[in-house]
Amino acid sequence: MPNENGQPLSIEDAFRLQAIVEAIADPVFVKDREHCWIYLNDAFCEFMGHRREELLGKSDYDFFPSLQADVFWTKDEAVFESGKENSNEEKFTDAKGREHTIVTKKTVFRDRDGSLILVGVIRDITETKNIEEDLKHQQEQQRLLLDSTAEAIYGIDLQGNCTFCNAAFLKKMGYASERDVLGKNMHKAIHHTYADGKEYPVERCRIFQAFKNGAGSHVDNEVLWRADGTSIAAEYWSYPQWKDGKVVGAVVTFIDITARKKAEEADRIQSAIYRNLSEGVYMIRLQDGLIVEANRKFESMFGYAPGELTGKPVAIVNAPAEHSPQKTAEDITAILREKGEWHGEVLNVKKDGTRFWCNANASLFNHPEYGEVIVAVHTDITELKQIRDKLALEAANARKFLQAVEASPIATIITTTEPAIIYINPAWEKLTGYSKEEAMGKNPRILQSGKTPRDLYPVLWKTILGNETFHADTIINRRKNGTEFNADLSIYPLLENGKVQFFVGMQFDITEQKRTDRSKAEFVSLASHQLRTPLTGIRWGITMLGKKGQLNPIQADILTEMDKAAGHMAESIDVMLHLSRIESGKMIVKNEMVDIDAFIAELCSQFHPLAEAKHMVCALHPDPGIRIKTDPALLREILGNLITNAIKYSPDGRTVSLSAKIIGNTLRISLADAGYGIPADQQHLVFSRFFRGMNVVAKIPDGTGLGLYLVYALVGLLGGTITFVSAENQGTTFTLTLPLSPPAPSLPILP
Amino acid sequence: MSKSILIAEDDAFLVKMYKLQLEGAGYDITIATNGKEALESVAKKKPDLLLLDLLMPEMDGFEVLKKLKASGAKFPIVVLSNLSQEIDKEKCVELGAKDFFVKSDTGIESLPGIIAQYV
Repeated sequence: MPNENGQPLSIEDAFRLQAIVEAIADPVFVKDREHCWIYLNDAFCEFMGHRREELLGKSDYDFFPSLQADVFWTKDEAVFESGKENSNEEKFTDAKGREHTIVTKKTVFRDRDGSLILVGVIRDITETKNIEEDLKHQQEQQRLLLDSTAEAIYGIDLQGNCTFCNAAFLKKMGYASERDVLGKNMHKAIHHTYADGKEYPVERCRIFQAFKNGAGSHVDNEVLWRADGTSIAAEYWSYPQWKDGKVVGAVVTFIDITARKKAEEADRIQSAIYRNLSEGVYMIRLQDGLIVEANRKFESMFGYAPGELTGKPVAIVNAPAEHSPQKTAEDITAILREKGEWHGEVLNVKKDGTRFWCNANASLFNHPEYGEVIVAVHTDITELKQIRDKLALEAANARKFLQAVEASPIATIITTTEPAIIYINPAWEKLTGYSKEEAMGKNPRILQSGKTPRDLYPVLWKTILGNETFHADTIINRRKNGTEFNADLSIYPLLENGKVQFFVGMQFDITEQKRTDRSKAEFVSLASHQLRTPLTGIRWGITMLGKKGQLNPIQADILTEMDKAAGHMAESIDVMLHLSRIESGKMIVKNEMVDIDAFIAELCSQFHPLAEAKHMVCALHPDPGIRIKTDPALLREILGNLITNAIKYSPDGRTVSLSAKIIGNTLRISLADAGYGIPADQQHLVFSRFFRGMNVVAKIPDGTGLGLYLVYALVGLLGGTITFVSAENQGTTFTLTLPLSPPAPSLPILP
Repeated sequence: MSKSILIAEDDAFLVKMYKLQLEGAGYDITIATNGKEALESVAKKKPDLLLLDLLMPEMDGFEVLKKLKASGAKFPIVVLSNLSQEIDKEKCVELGAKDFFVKSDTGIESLPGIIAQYV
């Protein structure tokens, strides 16, 4: 021990201490300047394993290998030189070969004669060292164990703050290092929220509760939150940590059961699918041919109650062999053994005996409990079979239709919208002179003669591309040989997927018909002219006779009757000529926008004098703003006839009322009179030729009986309908319904 | 000066009726019994009104209308014929006729009214 001046203590002081030194358990030695032992205590002798006499006067070199002795010598020398106290940890092997770690505290003193001596006190720390190393090793082992386990582990103190965690924890929870979690409140960090997103108060946390009652907990249905905010499904165990009878913290271990949860969910879903499958599934144990399981659908498909089929022989659901398909059960089993699966159609039997066809998919499995089993999926194909039959029928029909088109005398063609010809029938070949080979893929314009009215083609394209039927009878086409023919052509667009994709063209040669029609029309026209010419003479003659002649009352009366008769005849000629034109289909129906409001007002003003003569009123109630596309001349004729009749067949002073309104996509015009009406038993004859009501013939002898017949024909031309209600002596209401725009032309009729 | 009316009509009886109806009305009446005569008459003296029949021998009324239209005649022409089809009427109007009447449906007594409309 150095004194205050840093000088070595005197030897007197040292000797005073001798008694104490002898009693010290630690080995003590004193070396002279030559490094030889001059004093040793018992403990040192024992430490060295030699007697005192053997040691005194000797040095380290006499007992230790020289290398070891060099180390001691150097260290001792340094203490001698510096005079400073020193403490060294040294290792050495004793005489018995045992490794020792020692700490030697060395101090320099001055002897009585003034020479320096060194006092060393040895503490053998070998055992302490060993314990320390053991502990360190143990800790390392523990750490290794912690880090090598797949379970995530962390510890918390009573505040719930992290005291340690293992590698699996860091990895699973997405932390980079232990430093990121140490000291953090773990509930707040990883357990703050329930799976459904609701906040998880710490008081309810079962880990937290483990502190309260000192019991462990095991939870497998909660989620833990990772560093990045995602969650894992976890199963965790919490163990309270005890020290001195008190809980000081907890160790929590958990495993990620996300995958397991998923698998469980998948299992659940799969079994739900199995139960609720829209196909019947059942399992047969091959060993005894019993049904061991069937799903709900299978049971209901066969008319059994839930569970009723289990344990029943499989034969109960299969129809007897003679009705079964090509394969018998044995055959199917053989195929299953060979290939593992079988598909086919089978005839099944319901509980009530009804037979029905199923599509079956069977597979062979090895069941852990039942051994070899067949799992079969059955789909009722009764409906499918019906559809199949229907399709077959349709295909047969399609073949028939094709045959019909092939045999049809109408030249028929199908084109794409391009248009390119993709089908022609023999009648088309015959009509045009082009063969199938020549026409296929061509544009149908190969038939154009250049003589068809130019403006027809734009109308044609607009019509058919707008998915409407086109019809014209003014087309002049040219055959392959250059001759021309007048074609009656209809084109029908074909829709596919809601789009116009193809056109069907049908045409026939109406050259001859046109020629006939023309001469017929010319004849009718001429005939009517020939009738009119003498009639004009008669009528004009009668007029002049009445005006210029001096007639007695009887003659005048006769002349009046003659005039009426001639007028009647003129009217008949008009109507018959008109009808002949309508009936021959030669009437050209125009298509103009008509403003109904103005049209009716103008029309009725024409009948004003006629009505006034009978003190009658025409009340007009057309809805304003109605416009339709129709033929105004024909409409005038129709309404004119009806108004004339209404006035003619009403007693004086009555009212005729006319209304017009739009109903849906039609115009409805009603004309009501309060006239004589039509007898109920004659109403069915109203639109027939030469009809005149029995109740009015005597009252109003004039009339051809052709007016309503003509009206009916004209309404038909405009694509409309006409109906009436009538009661004798109460009146008649005619209702005319017209389309807002003209109808598509009808299918051509063979000449 | 009285207005001149040219009547083209091949039917002698109807001509007689025309004359009877119009006599005393103060018109200067010329008769042509076919289209050719009508044109010749027009060439000599332009009438104030032509009452024209359509079906006539030698040259029909349509031809007369065509020729007169081509020559730029300005006097009104009213067709009185027993052709009654709409197409005939349209053709006449297109060729310049002011009006069209079907004879058998038109009383002779309405003739003065028709004429008065145009002269």
